[in-house]
Amino acid sequence: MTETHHDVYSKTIFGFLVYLLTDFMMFATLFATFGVLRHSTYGGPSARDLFHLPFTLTQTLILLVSSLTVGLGGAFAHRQQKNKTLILFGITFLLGIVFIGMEFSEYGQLIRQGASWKRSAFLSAYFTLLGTHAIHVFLGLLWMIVLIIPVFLSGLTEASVRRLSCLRMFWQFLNVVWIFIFAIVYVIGVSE
Amino acid sequence: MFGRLTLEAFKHDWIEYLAGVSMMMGAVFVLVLLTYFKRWGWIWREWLTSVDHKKIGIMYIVTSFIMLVKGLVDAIMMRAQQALAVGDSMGYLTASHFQQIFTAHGVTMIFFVGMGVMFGLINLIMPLQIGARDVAFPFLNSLSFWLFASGGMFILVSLVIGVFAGTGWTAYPPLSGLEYSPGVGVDYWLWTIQISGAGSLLSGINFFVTILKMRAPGMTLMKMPIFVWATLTTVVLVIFAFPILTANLAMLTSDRLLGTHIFTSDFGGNPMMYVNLIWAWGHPEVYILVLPAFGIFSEVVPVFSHKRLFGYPTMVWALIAITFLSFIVWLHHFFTMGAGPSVNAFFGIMTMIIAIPTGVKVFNWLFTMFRGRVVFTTPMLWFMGFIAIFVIGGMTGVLMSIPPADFQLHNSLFLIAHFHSTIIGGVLFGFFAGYAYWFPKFYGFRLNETLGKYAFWCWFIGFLMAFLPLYALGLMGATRRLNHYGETDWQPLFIVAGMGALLIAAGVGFQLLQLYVSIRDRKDNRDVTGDPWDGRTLEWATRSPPPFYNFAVVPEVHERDAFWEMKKSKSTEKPHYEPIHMPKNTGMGVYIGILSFILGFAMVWYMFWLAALSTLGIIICCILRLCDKHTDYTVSVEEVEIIENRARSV
Amino acid sequence: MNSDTSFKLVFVGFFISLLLTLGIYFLGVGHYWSGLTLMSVILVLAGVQAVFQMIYFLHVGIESKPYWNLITFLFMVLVVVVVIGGSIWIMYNLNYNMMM
Repeated sequence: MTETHHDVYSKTIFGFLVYLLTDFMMFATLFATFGVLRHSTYGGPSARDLFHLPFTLTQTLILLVSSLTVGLGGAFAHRQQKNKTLILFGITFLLGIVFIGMEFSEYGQLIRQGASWKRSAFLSAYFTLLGTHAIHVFLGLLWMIVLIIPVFLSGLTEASVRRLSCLRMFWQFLNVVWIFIFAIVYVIGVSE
Repeated sequence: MFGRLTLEAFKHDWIEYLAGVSMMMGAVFVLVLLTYFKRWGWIWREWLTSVDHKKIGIMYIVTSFIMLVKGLVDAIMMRAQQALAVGDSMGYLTASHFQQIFTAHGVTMIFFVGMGVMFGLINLIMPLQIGARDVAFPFLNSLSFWLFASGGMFILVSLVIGVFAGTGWTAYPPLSGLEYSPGVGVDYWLWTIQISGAGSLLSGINFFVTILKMRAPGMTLMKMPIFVWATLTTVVLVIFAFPILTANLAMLTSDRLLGTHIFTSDFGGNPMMYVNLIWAWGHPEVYILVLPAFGIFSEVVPVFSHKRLFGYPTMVWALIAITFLSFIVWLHHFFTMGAGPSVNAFFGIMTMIIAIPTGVKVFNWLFTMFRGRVVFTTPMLWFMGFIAIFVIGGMTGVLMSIPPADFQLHNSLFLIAHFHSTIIGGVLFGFFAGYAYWFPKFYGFRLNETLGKYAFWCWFIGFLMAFLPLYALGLMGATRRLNHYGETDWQPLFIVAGMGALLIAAGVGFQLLQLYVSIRDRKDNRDVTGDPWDGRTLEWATRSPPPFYNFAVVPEVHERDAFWEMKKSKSTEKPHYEPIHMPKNTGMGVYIGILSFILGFAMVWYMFWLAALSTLGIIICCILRLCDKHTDYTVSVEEVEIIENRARSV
Repeated sequence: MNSDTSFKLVFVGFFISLLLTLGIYFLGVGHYWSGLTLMSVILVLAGVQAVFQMIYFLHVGIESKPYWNLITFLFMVLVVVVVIGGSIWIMYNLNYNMMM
């Protein structure tokens, strides 16, 4: 019995979703650690001293818009509309670059202030959680380049639509994780 | 260029030299054999690059057997040390060597024997039992195996280059932090577990999707064999527990490499959080080890009792209950760390409750035997051994679930005896039962029964001799992981325990002999029907060994014990073949495995340029695999007919 | 699900998330509550937004039978609540007793 295209698609998307759930679990562990260590500032700066909420809100909104554009890109890919797919993934990529750029500029500022990950357990937990998210975003951007080039050169195949769907899911998953980072690390953190 | 690797790393004491040299000689021997018999091409094409779940399963089991031998040698060395080092004598091992031995013993046995044999059996059996042709993601399956093998290499390499961790297999900080373990040992430990852990996680996802999406038509969940149910619940545990380990170890790595203060004892760090997280993973891990064994017994007991399994629905509910409960008991591993009575009481009660579904399963197996026509073949002997030993282990576990009792027994030899009872009595005996039961399926001939029985009795009596004294010693106050004890009164017990370990080694000797004799006598023990035990489940519907595509025609399932039903309603219609879509072999798993090993090794020795290069290599391999358009092939109807007809005429 | 539905879902999900994000921000900086109340409000808003994004972006819970995506996701939520909640309870208890 030959495996239908739908079978392959269905298995891959489900498998990828399960992988995303394991990634959630890993982030959950980092969140738990942050929760435990958030007050361990060891005499150093705390969240209130360090974070600028308007800046982080901007980052959050940029990532949210990129979730929209990647969702649209995935939908266009299913409709076999190559150019619209490329444009929307391209916009997502640029928004991702801006997001990462803002993230690294924040890290740079913190480090210059003496608030690096070596300063206290709180900052260690902060950098670990945010850094892991940033690494995921970075790998997502790399993955985006790897997937988009063949689409640009040879159009949308069944395999590329499937993989773009996985990439879309990955990108949107990162957004869900960021919601909690924004809420817990930044908003609650600054008010505590 | 070589980071912190210097010639010092190759200097060891004479015992370590002996071990390292004999290990390398073993490896060289295998390489020489391959060259002499000109089998390099064959082993590459047929085995190393295979994406066939049956071959991958066998490779897991072979690797685990090798690691079992190493782990056993560790055990015998420890038993010898503790039998000798009493009163004024300090034994023959240095303290630091002893610490590395008990650490390596734990890591080897849990990750590379326990996980290895179970994932190997699941790989071999589960797809056949659900009527599938392979797992959901065959390439990932191969990759998982190579990550597993690559992880195991670190333990072996540490014997020759550098040292292994001396922290115990769970490596608590601050001891495992940079300040107190600045050397390479803990780094080796971290990379062993992270790399093989990635393999385990991928396998977990793979098996999960396979069971939910690839069952034969008509096989609803409640018609699956219990071994498949056990696999399903096991991988649910893998999927949600292993990421906790990954994050925890990544944080420890970050503390050691980047100077973070998550688990340090200063700058606000909290080492207790590591302990908390490692056991939030660690408890589900022990159920990951034992649930497949429960599944194996649920297959073996009905077949050798000639009676169907008693209480199928309650068996399923027990598995599901254990899965859920194993996430809410983890604190019982650190009752003594200082949490208050409310926390300790909650987890103590939960731990007691989790014994109940396990008890249900034990009774169901016994009720299956009741009024059956029981035949005491080797698999059934392993089951009886399990009942005796695992039940002792379980009961001592419930004893320790009471926090006040645990305050006395925590980290004593009583604890050691408890978990060896459950792991050896449960996991290992379960594997041995499955090994004897399913061996004919994959090789077409049965294993020698007499030698199998000798092996069983050596293991069983050896286990009792090795571990019952430890229960007594623990109750008398003996602490674990000590290379010397002052109480001379205890020496006889340690000596008995040492003899028990040697008897177990004899058991392994019989198992190796059994393999040799069975292969030598294979023509006499041939199984031509594919169904040597009058089995009940679908794997027995294939030939022995099965063709690479498992089933020429995908079976249609109507009842539980699908093959039993098929045998009763013998259909004589000519099978209708269709083209079969199969995945191609690939070396990518091997390459990524090797690159992962290099990455880990480079990180251990601070050769960061090499680490960056190997990371780049892994990314390139992934991209190449993504770009590969020729990953599958089709077996035409004519080819299937030829293969099936040829097999029928033999 | 056809691609017209997925267009609608993405836009709806985006607007709901936008509102909830701005809600978190303004309620947080507005100092209407503090301490545990504020934390609970923010967490609830974040949780709700996460659920909406799981449904509208990741399509969890709107598949046809069998509901494997939903069941697996719900089990994960259970494990996350147990592990994070349990860890925080345990560590709080330990820190208190160990005077940290």
